[in-house]
Amino acid sequence: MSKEELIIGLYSLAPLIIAGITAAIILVISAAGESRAGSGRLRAVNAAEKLSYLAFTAMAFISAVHFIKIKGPLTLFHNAVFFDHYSAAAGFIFSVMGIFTIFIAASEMKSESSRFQPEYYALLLSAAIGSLIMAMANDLLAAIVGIEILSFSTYILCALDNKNKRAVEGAFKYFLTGAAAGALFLFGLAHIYGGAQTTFISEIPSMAAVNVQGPGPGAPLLIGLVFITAALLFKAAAVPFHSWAPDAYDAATVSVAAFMTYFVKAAVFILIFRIFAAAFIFMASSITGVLSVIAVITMTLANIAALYQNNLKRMLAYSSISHTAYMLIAVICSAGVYKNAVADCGAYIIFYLVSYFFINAAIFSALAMLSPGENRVHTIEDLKGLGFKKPFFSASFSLALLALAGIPATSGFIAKFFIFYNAFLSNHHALVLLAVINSLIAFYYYIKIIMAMYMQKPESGETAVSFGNAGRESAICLAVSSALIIILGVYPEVIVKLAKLAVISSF
Amino acid sequence: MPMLISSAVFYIFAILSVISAILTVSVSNPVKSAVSMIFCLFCLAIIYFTLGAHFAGIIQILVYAGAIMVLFLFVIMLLEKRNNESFDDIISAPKIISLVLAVILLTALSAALAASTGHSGVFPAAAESFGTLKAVGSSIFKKYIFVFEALSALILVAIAGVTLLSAKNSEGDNK
Amino acid sequence: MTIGLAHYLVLAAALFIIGLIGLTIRKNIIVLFMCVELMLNSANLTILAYARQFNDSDFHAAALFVMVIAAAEAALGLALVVAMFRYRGTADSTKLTLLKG
Repeated sequence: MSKEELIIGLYSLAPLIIAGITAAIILVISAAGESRAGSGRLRAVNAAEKLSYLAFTAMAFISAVHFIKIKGPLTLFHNAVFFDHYSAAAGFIFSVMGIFTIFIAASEMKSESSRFQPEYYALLLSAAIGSLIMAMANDLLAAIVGIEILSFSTYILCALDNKNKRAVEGAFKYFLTGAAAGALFLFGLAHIYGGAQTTFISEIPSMAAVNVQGPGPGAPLLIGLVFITAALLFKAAAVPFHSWAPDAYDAATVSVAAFMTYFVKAAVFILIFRIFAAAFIFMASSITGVLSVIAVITMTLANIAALYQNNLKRMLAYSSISHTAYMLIAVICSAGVYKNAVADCGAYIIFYLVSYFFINAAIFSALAMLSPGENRVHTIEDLKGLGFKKPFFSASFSLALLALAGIPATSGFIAKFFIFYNAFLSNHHALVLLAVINSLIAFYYYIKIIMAMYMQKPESGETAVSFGNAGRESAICLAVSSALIIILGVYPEVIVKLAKLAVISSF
Repeated sequence: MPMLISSAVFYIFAILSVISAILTVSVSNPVKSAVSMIFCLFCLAIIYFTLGAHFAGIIQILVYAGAIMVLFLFVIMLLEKRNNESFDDIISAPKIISLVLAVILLTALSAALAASTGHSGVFPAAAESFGTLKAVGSSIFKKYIFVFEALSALILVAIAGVTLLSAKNSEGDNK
Repeated sequence: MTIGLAHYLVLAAALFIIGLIGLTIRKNIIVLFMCVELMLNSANLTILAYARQFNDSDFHAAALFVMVIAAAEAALGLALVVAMFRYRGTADSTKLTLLKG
């Protein structure tokens, strides 16, 4: 490796290196701290929080610089990673998500009774490493290593709330399905290697064309694609593989559940889109049919299951499963017939992820305000009568829920509109119809919560939840995300334009 | 190696590995299950040797059978308190359906694979350096250097996780 | 009869399916975990068989990486198993019923 290559390598991996070093420092701090309870714990938590703020801000800044400075797509480290606008944009999104997660977690971490340790922040940073590797990966082997790093961090974050039996159980269920998904991915990767003689995303199309025997794309390649797709759908929680999601969300604390909704989902979809658009677009037609069926079943089952949920986090889990289905529609359409299908769909997926991120940041920071520190189950009854007592809280929370449902003038509406309109252009009319019907069903359970807040009185006369020592951070996060929901709903062009630029220059 | 012997080696160890894999998933005692898994890993290591993957075969025995499975055995021994499940309650209608589906999937997979690997069945002659430590090592540290480095992050996360999970256990138990 | 790529691939597929069946029918969490290891091994066998076919021992590195992933997964998974066993006192996956809804 020449000196120039080394320098550009270090430059491109700077966010990863920062995250890795900071995570290691935090681990050392928490290992060196003698007391793991009381004021010693708080000091270590504060130090770790500041460090991780710094790290995520630096990562966001460097990713932004990358995004501006990159001329065109590059591959580095013997083609193992891409260094392009797409990966830089993903890096920026992940860093901002990390900052928001720290905000949401603040009240959980800093209350006296909290049992969280400073390692929490190290795990957030390592999750960022994993998702950045996923976003940059050209080699599918690197991608699976990224997936595993992200998943490992998430399992541990899920299980972190010690002495809570539910947390360990949820983490274990998540772990077992995640491990099975990893095995599926590796089996698929092996067959892709067999079909194309390479595991590099950028080389698969040309190598597959040379390597194909007989008609069609060749059985090994198809088997590989099917298994890899199944594994990624596991991670994104689409329907035949969704059963872990409600348990894991329910078991995790509010900030970890928030992290799982937007961070993990974004990382998985950014990888899915890369694999589809860059490697398998030439044989996408062989599985779009199956994917459409999966998308429809996913949204229908998830919305019906959500209707019967009283536990807020489980309901949000089902809601996130249904949103997986909407994003899946955009993935299906990227194999579309019309010009620029890939660029449009990629941009819409990124926009959807960003909009979904702000909506969920708002919802979960509201939940974090409700009963900080205490990991009890939030039910819809808890919210009764809050409406006029806590006007700011209730208004923002309702706004976020309406955005999740897709009311016009919110970013949720625009995001859904882009994807549905695009599907309509790609002649997936039935799919659009079913998705719209599903969005209407979904309205019901979002409205149910808002009704509980504004129209119903709590049985005991007093509201069931206390705001106690709700952290300032959660309130700030709620306000900022609510504002962004509206801003993106009214001016979506900036993000869409940037996303389109990223996708066009990278694919 | 003469053709006949290599075929015989493959068939013997393939059948042994399938049998021990079936035993792994079907015997009710987890210890027996783990031991047959170790045997299966040994058979697979020998099959790796027949593929010329000497380094991978050695690592399979040293790391997989030697370290990972022994870890499993330790944990089983640590936890083992009459938690055998009897085979009777393993069999139920949905499980039979899943079995049937799995067998269909297997047949389809095998048929598709056997039909599509039209390389006339026989492997090409292996190059001189195929599967040697030198060749594999240089590919790890050259072509796959990024993956190798990324794996170090994976192991760091795993270490942090294991320490966290077990540290808080002892705290919860003792205090 | 000569042994070729297809034989190895079918063996790998058989092991994979056995692991998958084990995942669906077993209850003991440690055995469930071993089934995942079995599936990883079948992926490894597939990788090595194709590498032999393509005369590409570079890709043997992938098999080693899979083993590293399997080892890390085993360490973390067993730590979780031990943690759960301490809290719940069971290794039976059907008794994991705290989370329902």
